[in-house]
Amino acid sequence: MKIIVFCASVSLCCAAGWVVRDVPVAAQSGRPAPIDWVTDGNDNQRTGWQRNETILTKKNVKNLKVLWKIQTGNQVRALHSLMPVLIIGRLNTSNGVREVGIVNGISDNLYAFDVESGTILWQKHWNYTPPPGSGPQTVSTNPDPAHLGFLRPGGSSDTPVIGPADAQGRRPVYFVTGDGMLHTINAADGSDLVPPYMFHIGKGWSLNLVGNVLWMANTYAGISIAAVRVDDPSHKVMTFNAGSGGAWGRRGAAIDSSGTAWFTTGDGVYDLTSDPPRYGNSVVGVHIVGDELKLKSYFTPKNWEWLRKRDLDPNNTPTVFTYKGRELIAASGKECRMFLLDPQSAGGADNQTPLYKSDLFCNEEVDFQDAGSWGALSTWEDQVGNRWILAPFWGPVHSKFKFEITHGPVMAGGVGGFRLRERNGKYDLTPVWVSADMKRGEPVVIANGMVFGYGSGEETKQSWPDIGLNFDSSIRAAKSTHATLYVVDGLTGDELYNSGDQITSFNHFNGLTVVNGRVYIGTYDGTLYCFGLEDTQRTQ
Amino acid sequence: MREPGRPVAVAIVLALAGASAAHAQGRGGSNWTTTSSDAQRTAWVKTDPRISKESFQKPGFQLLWKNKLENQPRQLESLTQPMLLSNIISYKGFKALAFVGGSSDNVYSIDYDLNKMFWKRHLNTMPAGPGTIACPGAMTTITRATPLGQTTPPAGRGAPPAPGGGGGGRGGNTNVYAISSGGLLHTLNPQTGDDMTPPVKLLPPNAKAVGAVLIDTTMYVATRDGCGSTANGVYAIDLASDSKATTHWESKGGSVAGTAGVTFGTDGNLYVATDGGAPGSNDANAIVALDPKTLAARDWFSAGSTPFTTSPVAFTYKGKDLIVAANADGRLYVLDAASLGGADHRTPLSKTAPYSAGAADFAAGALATSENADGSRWVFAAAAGPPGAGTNAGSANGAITNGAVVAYKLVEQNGSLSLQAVWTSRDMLSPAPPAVVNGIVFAISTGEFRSADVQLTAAQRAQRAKPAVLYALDAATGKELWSSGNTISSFVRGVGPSAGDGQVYVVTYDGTVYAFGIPLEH
Repeated sequence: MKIIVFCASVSLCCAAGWVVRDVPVAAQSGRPAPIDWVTDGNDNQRTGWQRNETILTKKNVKNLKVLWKIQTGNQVRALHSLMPVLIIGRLNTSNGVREVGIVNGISDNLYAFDVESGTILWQKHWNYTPPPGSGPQTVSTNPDPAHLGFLRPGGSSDTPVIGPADAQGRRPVYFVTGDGMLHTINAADGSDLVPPYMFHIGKGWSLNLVGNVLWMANTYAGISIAAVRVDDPSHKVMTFNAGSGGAWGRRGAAIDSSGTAWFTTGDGVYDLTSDPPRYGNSVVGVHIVGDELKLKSYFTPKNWEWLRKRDLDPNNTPTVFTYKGRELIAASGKECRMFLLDPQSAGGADNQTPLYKSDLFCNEEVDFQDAGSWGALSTWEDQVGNRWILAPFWGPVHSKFKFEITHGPVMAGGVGGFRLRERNGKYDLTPVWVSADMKRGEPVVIANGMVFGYGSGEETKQSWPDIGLNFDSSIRAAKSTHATLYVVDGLTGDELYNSGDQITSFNHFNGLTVVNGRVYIGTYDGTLYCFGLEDTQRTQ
Repeated sequence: MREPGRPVAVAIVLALAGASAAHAQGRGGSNWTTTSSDAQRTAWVKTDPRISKESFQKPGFQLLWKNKLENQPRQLESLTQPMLLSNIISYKGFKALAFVGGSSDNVYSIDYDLNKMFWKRHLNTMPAGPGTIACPGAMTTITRATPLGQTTPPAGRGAPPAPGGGGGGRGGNTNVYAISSGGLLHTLNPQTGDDMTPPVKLLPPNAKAVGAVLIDTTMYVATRDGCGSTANGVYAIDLASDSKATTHWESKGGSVAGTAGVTFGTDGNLYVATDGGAPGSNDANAIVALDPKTLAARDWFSAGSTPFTTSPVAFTYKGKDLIVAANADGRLYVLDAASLGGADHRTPLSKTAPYSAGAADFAAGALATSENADGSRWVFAAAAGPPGAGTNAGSANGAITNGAVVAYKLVEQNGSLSLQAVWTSRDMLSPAPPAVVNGIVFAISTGEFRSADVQLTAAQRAQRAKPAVLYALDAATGKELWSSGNTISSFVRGVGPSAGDGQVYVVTYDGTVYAFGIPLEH
């Protein structure tokens, strides 16, 4: 294994002037002690809800600006570049306690950066020969990885996860490289805490650590999800294969209170008569029984054949939450419906009956590439106890679907805000608001009553009239524009902020992180942006 | 006698062998790419995701949608048989498309799952003259690229793009080809309907083009009725050639019989049936085998003084490459492709007893053929009037006065092959060429008014016609399993149903496309 350390080119915008020393930050600054964001979507349930944000408010968020940006130098693979950022609020480093960010680059790069200064603390890169059955989808004679097929980029596609401190106060970063090896890295310095071992090859999605169990939903892997107990000296890897259609939810699996991991399967077949059974186009829950993963429950839409025919699979990560004492799952996908499921029996007696199914709220065109809900759902609860489900989507709102509050025509995508209602044991979702138009609405984060979302600016077509179907990612990259960060009111969708053209590149399958008054987003060109407030505006 | 072209036959067998596997794994279903489905003009959809004898055991088959197109009929010509592209990854996502040609030089692309117009295109061409019933001056044929074997769903996602690039969304050639009334061959982008390449001159204006089919890069089309001062015969053009030169075989006074034009035999040769012709000519009232490259005649069978009324249908049976066609004498002729008429060119393998009375201006148009799971080979033919006395198929499905579909089974007795009538359908008025889908025969009682009175105008004929009815029949017994009743409100002008991917299509004179099937929950 070869490790390369380099000094990244850094463009620093240090207007914040918030310097960390070897003393408790809160004690020094009077500000709340910085907290963690250790996993994609912020929690095991993949809610995307930042419950503890106090710096950013509806009043001051309009003053967001780029505090700094880092050009990481990560080599693009296909359309992938940087994954969502993780944050350790207070980390003991050789230079004292720091607020440290961790971000993965698709080309098997892992970066740690100092939040305050926007400088790289350490960086690791892994080289390997892809094991048989893994590796990227080569669709061009051009050897530049930017030309790889966008479905299967190879490299490290997972978002890492950060574990709790060990006895020495060290924070492990769990990260899977493109050769399937699981690395346990000391967040403070990039050293190995545990010798790496094989977890699983494939296109891994965001890791989820629940207690001692590390989960990774996967596709192009021959399995759908893998799990390992990180304290198991034998490193026994447990897997489950849904039989058809890989997992595609970007936040990986969502874990419910029973420890069941919920993920969605992509474009595939539902066939219980096959051996093993196939659960394509489904929401699947698996749990650990002994040392094996077993099917707990699943939901397959009755129209799965149609979904398969038009490639409208439920491709995003579901979210788990509790409402009036009952745990529920919300799920959606490219077809563009909202589903509410009971984790005790996701599809009811026939495995095909959800608690609730909405009408189509987008994707009237029945288009798998430019429309539908992609990535992950998010959820939060407002101050009066209303439970909200937030769905990002691409393309126009369905002409027959009405949100109570609109903000102009939505053509390229946006975010829909749905409020959960329960009447006599029946659940439904009220479509309360839809955001203004966004070029491909992406999974959101909720913080302090605000919804942070972004339009990726990505060209999402896979086929064009003049060139037909073409998987060469460079075509899409050339047609893409730039990402835009949006902040809207969580109750109304009213826009509170947008970043305009401050972000100069698009991104693909990235995600937001909002913590300690800062917003992080990475782009295709390898730039990591940190948005925040200047000191003078923090108290507004 | 000629070379049999065996390598081609092997390729066809391989293509057929792969069909079911591809279907089982892929989206969509079989693609009906040319008139009568495939290059052999079998009108047979071998497998289907929803249509089967089992599915007809319970209710469900129904009208799914209808779409009135704004095409203006020319004389009695209206819409072509819909061609299917069951799956294309387009710039607007996965689409399942039915392409329909309109007589007024229109081409329509309909998302057949949703009854949603994907695109429509009017081909600019010279203004049409008034025309006649025989020579309407209309666009009469469209097609898609067609493999030599029965069509299969294209390869999976990530398959190579179409030769020449563009248009195709899922590998292979998914373009649409239309011959305008002005005689220009258009290569249309399946995603938009735009010309992929400049149109090329193929036929004189107002020729009556029949059964266009694109094999590899060569377009074949037949012309009939001497329309537009065009010599009847077969035309071919290699679209990959620089010269775009046209090759021509002339039927010497006769017309090309049938609605499907030319047929590719399972031996790789081209077969065409003629209707009339110069007395004494080898090509008169004949089945003629043509070299697919040069269109030079290689062999022929002459039926004597009676013209053929259908395009040939080709299939293999126990290693033999066979050709079957219907004749105005009311019989079906079974020919050995290796020697069409024997040494004297007048000796078929067998011929049936007359099964069709031959009403005024009725022509069966095309046949259908299928193979059962037990290996038995069946041929289905539309017939006019009561069945001939020698048919001996019984009347289990009711008395016949107007016409019917007659089903034959190929039998081997004492080393000779012959067709044995097994059943006749219920009564039908001017039945169109049937289609077979996974054990179900779909037949249309077209309702067309037929008369030998040449003074009757198209409008008068249309006025006297009756609404068409689509029937689903058990292919083994002819038993009526379902009918469209009074769902269809206009008549059909000789165009048989096309089918695939769980749906059956009927086009009517008034410009309406009807889609029947078992609903797929959306």
